[in-house]
Amino acid sequence: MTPTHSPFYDYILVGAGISGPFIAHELCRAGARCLMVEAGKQYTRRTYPRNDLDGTAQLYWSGGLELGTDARLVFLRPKVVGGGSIVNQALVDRFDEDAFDSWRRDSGVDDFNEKAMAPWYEKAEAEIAIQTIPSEYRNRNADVFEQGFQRLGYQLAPLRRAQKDCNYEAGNCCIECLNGCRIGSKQSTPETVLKKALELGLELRAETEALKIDSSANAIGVACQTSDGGVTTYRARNLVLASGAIGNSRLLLNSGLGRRLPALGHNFFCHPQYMNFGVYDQPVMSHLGAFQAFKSDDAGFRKNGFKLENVYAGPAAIALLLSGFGRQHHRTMERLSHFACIEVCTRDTQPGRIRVNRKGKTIIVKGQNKEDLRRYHKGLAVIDEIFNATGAKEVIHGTMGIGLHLMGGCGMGTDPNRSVVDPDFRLHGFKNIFCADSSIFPNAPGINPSLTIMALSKKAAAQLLKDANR
Amino acid sequence: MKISKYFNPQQLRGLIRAGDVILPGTDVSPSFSRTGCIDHVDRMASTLTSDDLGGLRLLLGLFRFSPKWVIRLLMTACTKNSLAPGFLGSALRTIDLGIRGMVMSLYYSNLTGREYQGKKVFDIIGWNTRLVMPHDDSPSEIPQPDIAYENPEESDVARIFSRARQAQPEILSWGVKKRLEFISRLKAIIIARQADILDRIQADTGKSRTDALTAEIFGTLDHLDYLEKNAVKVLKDRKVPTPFALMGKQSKIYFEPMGTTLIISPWNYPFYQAIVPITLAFAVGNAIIYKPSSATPLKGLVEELLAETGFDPAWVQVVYGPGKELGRMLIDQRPDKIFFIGSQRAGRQIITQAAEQLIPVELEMGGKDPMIVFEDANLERAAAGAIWGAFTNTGQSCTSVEKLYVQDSIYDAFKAILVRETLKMTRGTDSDGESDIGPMTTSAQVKVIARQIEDARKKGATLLTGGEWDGASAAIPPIVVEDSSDDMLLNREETFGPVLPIFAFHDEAEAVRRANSDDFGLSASVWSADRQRADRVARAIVTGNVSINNVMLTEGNHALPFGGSKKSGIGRYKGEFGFYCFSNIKSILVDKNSGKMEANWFPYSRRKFQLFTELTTNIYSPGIWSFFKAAVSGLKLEGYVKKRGKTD
Ligand SMILES: Cc1cc2nc3c(=O)[nH]c(=O)nc-3n(C[C@H](O)[C@H](O)[C@H](O)COP(=O)(O)OP(=O)(O)OC[C@H]3O[C@@H](n4cnc5c(N)ncnc54)[C@H](O)[C@@H]3O)c2cc1C
Repeated sequence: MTPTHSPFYDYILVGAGISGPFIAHELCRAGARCLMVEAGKQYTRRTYPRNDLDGTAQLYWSGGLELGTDARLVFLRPKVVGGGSIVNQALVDRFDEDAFDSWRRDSGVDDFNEKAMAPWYEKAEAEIAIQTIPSEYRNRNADVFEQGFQRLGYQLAPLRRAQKDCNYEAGNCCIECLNGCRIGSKQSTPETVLKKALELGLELRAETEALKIDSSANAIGVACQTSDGGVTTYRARNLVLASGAIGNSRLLLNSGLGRRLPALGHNFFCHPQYMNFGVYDQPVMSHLGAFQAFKSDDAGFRKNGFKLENVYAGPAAIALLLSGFGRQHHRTMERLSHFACIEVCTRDTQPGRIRVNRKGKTIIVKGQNKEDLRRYHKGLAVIDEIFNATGAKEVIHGTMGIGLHLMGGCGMGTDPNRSVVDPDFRLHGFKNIFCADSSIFPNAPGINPSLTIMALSKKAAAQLLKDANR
Repeated sequence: MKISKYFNPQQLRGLIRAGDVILPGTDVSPSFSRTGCIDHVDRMASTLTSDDLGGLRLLLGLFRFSPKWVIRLLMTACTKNSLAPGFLGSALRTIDLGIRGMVMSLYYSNLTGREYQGKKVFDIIGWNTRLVMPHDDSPSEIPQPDIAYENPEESDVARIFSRARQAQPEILSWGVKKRLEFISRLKAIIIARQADILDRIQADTGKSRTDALTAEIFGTLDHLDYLEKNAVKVLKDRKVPTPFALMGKQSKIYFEPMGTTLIISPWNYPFYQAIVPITLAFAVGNAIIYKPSSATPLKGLVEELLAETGFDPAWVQVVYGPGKELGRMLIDQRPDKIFFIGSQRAGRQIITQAAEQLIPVELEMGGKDPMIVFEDANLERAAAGAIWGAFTNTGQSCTSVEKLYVQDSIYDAFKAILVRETLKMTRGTDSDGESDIGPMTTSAQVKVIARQIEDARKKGATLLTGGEWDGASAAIPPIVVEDSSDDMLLNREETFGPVLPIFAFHDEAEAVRRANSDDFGLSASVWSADRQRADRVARAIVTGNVSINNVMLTEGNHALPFGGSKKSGIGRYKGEFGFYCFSNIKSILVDKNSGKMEANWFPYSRRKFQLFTELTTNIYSPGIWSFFKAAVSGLKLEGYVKKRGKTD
């Protein structure tokens, strides 16, 4: 029994990714005393890493080397103040009726519909600047994408990106911002709601990893490993879990709550994505300027469970995605500036499972069933079509599947046996533990998740404040 | 190749091999190894989980000894992983991602080693992204850190210290074994650059090349070798026995660094006296601020070698400047330890200033070392020893022979040999090893010697050799002096030059008495065929080091501690004790976390006092019977404490 002299909070929020700051902002605005703990480091525009090596090593869990048990998928799990909003592509999309229908079906939560969510989307969108890329700043990779779609009669739409003042006139290249935007254009949470929350008195402790929560008493205790290697316990009336899909399941499982929450760690999804390259005679220079401008918007694709995106990555990532090694590999990389790139992102149907072993280490079991692979191959076939229709001399399929949209594990639902979080964002059977981040997704929506995380977080915050006033 | 904190040299070589299989280079692209990108491996290794790191280490260790075709085969199997079933498939994919991930990230992040001259990888693949910063808080270029400072000001000195303090935990975190990798690397670099180092030493000191080679290069390498072989052993946590009365507990000793160490070195062996204490303090885990003598700074050399070895600029910082003023500024910053080699005068100043701040100080100062030759000694050998001991490094050693006592029965014969051989000595700053001694290094010291010689001459001493010296030239010939007496400056102050007074003594008692007659006590030598007598005399002389039938040789064995008694010094360094000199030796006593109360804690009572008296008497009385009685009293006391605890 060591007495803690640390102050007592109204809320502790675990994770400073997207959800945590969106909720904290509202709570602080209402005058609540909040502590946010984040395992990752806090960077500034000055200190973001400047190359792929440092970026992957410093901004992701396990140095970017997190694999599923069958090692077919790599999970990129952000670990930095700002979480996914620091490293992601900042594509913000609302869900469509199809996504919400499937959520409602799987969760029994009626609020999952376009109409009920619309006001929350609006509130979320009001916090960030959203832009599409003006045609004069689209690069040649976007042109390939557009041309292919037009030639083949597929529907596409401009991407909505959370960004402002990218200053393309000066020749800025947005791909640099995948390791943290050094010009502060990307609307990451530290540039938006987190900044405001801090101004309103949020206490943020970076490099502080929640290890275990103790919910046995009235107040919640969160034991955290601090940057100096010590363990400190913080206490609060309420706890908000915002450490992402894998983070939340891991924390709850390591806290011994697996028994009370039978669905904990189940239903994990990740929208496996595969990058593919067309090699052209002429230089494409995919890395320059606004490196992405379009997405597929084709009803046929949606029905078939995939979407295509106009994206690119740093040279180290691309080198790794190209299979093989040796001179051949060199030769391919030497032609990098002739690469166009299209990514297929599948809406996965086979639920994965997050577990922890006896040492507390995370184990991610995530297979892909026939349907998932069919979706992937369907998408791949369209990509081949596009590259061929636009004159690519060679088409290269990236080898590895990447899981960037990590979702589920603490799914929302009405049935405590099949879900973890109730429709009021409260853990089933717990008075004062809440969650609204990517982990509550009941299944894979097939659409970029971050805007919906923001909207759900807004909604959750309102719910929390309503509870508190009661 | 830089030293890695996470991989040993074998594993790094394994990574190079695998890297060159994966990225062998083409006519336009350099190979993996050529870019030197492996120097940056720690940037990625530092955030890996211990499991992943363990796996990579194992694999890379294997690659080190696998022929390249084996690595190629494995990587090919990895590429074809889809053919492999279940577990094997996932193992191959994991290996593929781990190894290729490492190699590709290093190479395609445009990183290169310091020596790489070729085209950068980004230029080859046409990666030319840019980012202009419209905001005021755009990233500033990180300034190139320097390792050396010339005539720093007060504020610079503060910065130097804070940098050292910040860096010290990082040095510690490498662990002794890893720090030794730096020592080994430094050793190799010194071996490779011998000739260059000798040139630099000679340029600053003027000493003969052989003197520079044997004392400075050989001596330094010998020390580094000693560190490599012993540091881990000496600095390991140690378990010590826990006495009966503390049964059930554990006692340990940890050897931790002091923190930031200030090392101030003299001009006589500027290279040796730099590298030896620096590496010793570093091996323990200290950050170091090193101030060379302003007379022989070897400017640029130490930092160059350390940088080439891969030392971080903050680990050892070199400061140049005038001893007195700069020394004061440095000590004002409160180093955690001061290690000083030099004159008594400077030593006194340092310890005085350190005393105000209560900073631990180690001083190695001058001597006036006696050499005693008994009649049964081999005269030729002893005379040659005397000449070398007195004149090596032109007498500018703290352990030079400065008083030669020869038994009266052989005095004349010995003197004849001594003079004959001294006259044969060759002089000059040579480049081929043919000269015995060089000129003096500093003009200040030439003046000291001129004054001593003039005083001696005036008071009736005879110069058996070297009478031709003009009292001004730095090229002082070896001078053997006869008929000098205790009232002469020559026999009261340290000479630190090529001057050897010779005396006759009658018996052992007289020799010892005269050898002990001054305030110095650094080292001595005793020459005799009678080992028992030699040992007797060695014990009787009040001094830090004694060589028997040899001279200045205790320093030749780095396992022996070095240091002075009387006014020659405080503390010991080198050998096992050298590590202690830079260590905070921490005692640890571990007890169990239980509900048990200790018998010696409150509350006291009459009954407890009685039981304790019984226990005390029994434990410390001899005999097996007392032992049993002690056990019984112990149990009684324990039972009493337990009962008291309950009833209260
Ligand atoms: C490269 C990449 C590109 C992406 N692109 C897009 C895109 O374009 N559009 C889109 O909508 N989505 C995108 N995503 C996904 C999106 O970023 C995530 O879905 C989103 O960030 C999830 O938000 P979150 O708040 O649930 O969790 P996160 O943003 O992942 O934040 C969780 C935070 O909690 C911290 N944490 C975890 N465990 C602990 C613990 N025990 N103690 C303390 N802190 C902990 C983590 O370090 C992390 O910072 C992308 C993701 C990646 C990786």
